[in-house]
Amino acid sequence: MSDLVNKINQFQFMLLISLFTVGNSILLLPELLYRTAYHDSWLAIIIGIGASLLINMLLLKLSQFYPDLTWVEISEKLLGKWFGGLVSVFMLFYLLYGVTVLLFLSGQFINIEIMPETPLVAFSITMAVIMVFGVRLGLVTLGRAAEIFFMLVTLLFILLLALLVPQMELTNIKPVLETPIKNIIHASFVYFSISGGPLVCFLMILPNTLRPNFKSFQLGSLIGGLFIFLTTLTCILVLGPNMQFETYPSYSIAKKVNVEDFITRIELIFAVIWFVTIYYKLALYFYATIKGFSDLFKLSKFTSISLPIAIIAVVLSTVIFPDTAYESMWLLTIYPFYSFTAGVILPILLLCAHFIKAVVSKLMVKESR
Amino acid sequence: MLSFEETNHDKLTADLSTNVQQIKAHLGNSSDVTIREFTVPINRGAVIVYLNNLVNKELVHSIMKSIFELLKTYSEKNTKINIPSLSYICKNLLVVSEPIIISELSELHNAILSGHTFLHFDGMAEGLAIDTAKIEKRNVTVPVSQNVIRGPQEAFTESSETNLSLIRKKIKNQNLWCESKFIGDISKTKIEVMFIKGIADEKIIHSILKRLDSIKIEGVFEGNYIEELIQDNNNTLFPTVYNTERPDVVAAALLEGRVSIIVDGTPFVLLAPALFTTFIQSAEDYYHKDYGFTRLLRFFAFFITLLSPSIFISLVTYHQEMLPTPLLINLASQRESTPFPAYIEALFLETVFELLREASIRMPKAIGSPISIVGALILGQSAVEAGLVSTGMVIVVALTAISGFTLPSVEIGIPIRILRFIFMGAAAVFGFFGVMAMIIVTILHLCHLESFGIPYMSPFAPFKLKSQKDNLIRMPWWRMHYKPDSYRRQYITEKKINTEEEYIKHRKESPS
Amino acid sequence: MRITFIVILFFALVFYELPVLISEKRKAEAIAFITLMLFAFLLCVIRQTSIETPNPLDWILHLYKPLNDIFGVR
Repeated sequence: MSDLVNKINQFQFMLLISLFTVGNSILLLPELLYRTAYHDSWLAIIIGIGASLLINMLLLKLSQFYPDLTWVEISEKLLGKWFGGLVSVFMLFYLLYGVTVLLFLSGQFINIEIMPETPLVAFSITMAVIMVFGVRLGLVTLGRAAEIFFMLVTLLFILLLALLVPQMELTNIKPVLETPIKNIIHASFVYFSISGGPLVCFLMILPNTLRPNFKSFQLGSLIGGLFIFLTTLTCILVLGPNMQFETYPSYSIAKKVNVEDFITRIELIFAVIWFVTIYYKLALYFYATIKGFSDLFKLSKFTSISLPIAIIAVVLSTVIFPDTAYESMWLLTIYPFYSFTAGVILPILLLCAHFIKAVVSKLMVKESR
Repeated sequence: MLSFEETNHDKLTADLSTNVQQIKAHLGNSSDVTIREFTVPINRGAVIVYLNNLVNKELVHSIMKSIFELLKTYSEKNTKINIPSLSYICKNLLVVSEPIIISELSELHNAILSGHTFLHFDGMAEGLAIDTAKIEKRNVTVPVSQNVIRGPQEAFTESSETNLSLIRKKIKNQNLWCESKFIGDISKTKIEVMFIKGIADEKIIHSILKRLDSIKIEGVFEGNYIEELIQDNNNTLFPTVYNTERPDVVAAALLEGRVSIIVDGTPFVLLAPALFTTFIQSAEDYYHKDYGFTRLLRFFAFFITLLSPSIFISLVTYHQEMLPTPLLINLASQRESTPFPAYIEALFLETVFELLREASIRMPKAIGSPISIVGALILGQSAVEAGLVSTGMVIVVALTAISGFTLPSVEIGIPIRILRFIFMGAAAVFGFFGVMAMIIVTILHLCHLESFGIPYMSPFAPFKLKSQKDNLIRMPWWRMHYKPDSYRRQYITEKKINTEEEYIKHRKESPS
Repeated sequence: MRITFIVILFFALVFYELPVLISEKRKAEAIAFITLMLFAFLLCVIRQTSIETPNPLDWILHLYKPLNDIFGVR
């Protein structure tokens, strides 16, 4: 009886984007970026945010030409059934690997830092269960809950930063621009691959949004990037050169919160932030994946394949990273290219196909006269 | 005896004795049915049937007298026709409510069982049913469940007429309309749906009436029977319909645009739709100048009662580093002598508390206080001294119980209690991570619910800034120009809306 | 032992989902569901035994390795 239909409004869309952008990055990025760009990581993030905003315009333009169609339907319409299907499959596997990798990484974080004696797969399974639960309830539910969770995340984040101000030292950031530009570009590329490229999954969600506009898309990306920027900056300022020894710098700075020697070691409260954002990234990735697969197979009820794909993702998550060296190598070198392909090249391909089709149809109209 | 399934469409016959036989057979010669045959001018047999304890006997007596007089004057005027038609009698009989002409036996049964008096003349195939109901009812007393310190102390009673009058007393507006239905195939309970036309959303009114019509149930004795049958099809424990015993709560809700359902036979009136914030708000917030402080406190108490056992279990079992060191040392020394892990202790104490709570509802008042002394002092204190549970755990469980009782509605306490056990299980297995996962699941579930089309977590979830004035805090009355519009779809504007067409036109023009 | 557990789990999940699909007469969804469930089941069983499961990230690695050498990143 709801007269909202199955659409989320612009505000919820913006919040979904910001929670998705923050996602896993807040845990992963400070360490990864520090490896390449050392204490100029914050510059790299700014460049990355700029690049991400540019790519968002591309995505939104593409969706505005075909307002009610998801990615799979657009590529099928523009590129024909077989080539379009191929492109969709490539994209869907990108998203599926997103789910898998994220399941592993979130499980790894909890396993290493909080509960070392539980097997990692237990956390992956739990995350997968609540992810399936959330997605089966529908996008509208995720949107409404995003408003509540975003408020929680913001409050905790501000609290964290406020409590860490006494421990920040500005000398940690100097000298600025000491690292070569090539490293900064590489680091911004890495940022883009984890927070900017995956935004292409929102092409599956845009058809379900009421009147999406540039403002909500860009603002969401900006807010998410701001979160990551502030976290990385705080990590650099608080930890300094010790950052290279920490696997999860953002968790380490939460450990450092110390109020009068009484309230110490309350890092779990801040782990709530990352838990929520990881959950939203997982849920949206998963939603895009099963929506895409069900559009590919022409199913109408997309929740029917949620269970098998979740199981496949969980099982694959135990396979993908045999050790941490492989993981770092993958995230620093291969994943940026993969993300770039799926997040930038494929949308550009579709846009070119759209323009070619428009030009060709104009020419045909002229000829027929 | 008549079967339950078929409605009997048998008609009354013109013959008096056959009718009397039929009525006696159907009602089984029940001892509280009075069938009195008498003669009216001129030499015509008549019978009057009523249920002893449901009618006002003086009124019946005066009706019989008036009938006698009426027929006498009629027969004096018209010598040819002996008896006037029934419609003539209807129009000229001096009773307050107009008599109804009955021709079918099922209507006859309905009438008699509602306290009407049935009058039948020999030679006519129809009869009259006159309203003479006087039913025993309780006086209006103080509310049992939802107490306030300052505010009206009237509560509804079991009679729906009294309840209607209590609401009418509070809202003297011509737009307060009510529609009545009879629900329950065997019990035929009277349900009244009250709403303020023009404030309540038409769609909600329409959907409530439609759902009430589609109820198929044998008997309705409490609002919950209806509540479970008309709520949105949610597989949920959370209530989406509010119930209250206080007329002032109902009146305020009607002004907000909600619809009230009064069930005859119970003092608890249903209010639909109901959102999550409804269950945390209390009538008293509006009667004190605390501007929402107690509301925030109750909201905080909601989280305490739901989460404290599980957070305590996860802290003590998995994340000991989060406690400040002096507290940790104390807790550790307490827990050293207890044999069970924290989860088993918590489970034990929570179960004992649930048993205590259930027992206290059923206890006769005479042995009430000794049992509470037994429960509180002996069980609590001695369990600690016997080494079964630790003191910290007793404190946590007591805190949970106290916060649970601050919530003004008992309905929301039920899912909280059940969820609390699930949270404790999740905390015992996965620690804080488990609690977080369950919190996400709970919030997602709450956001999924809808109460008659309105999202359950409004105004939190689809966040409306202006509605926050009356959500967790209460802005002073001189600031509240804007009424919360979760239920209402239009405001009473200066322009008076007189007809349905104007209202529809106004709704189309105003922003949704 | 583990494989029995997996079998029971899969049966439970299929039991939970399939009757609803069949009663709503959704043939395409049922077929997709069963196929994917079989694939998932196979994967689970393979993972439990000591057969080496292929790592899909390896395939992507091979795909992008030349790019990596071109750009000369660490």
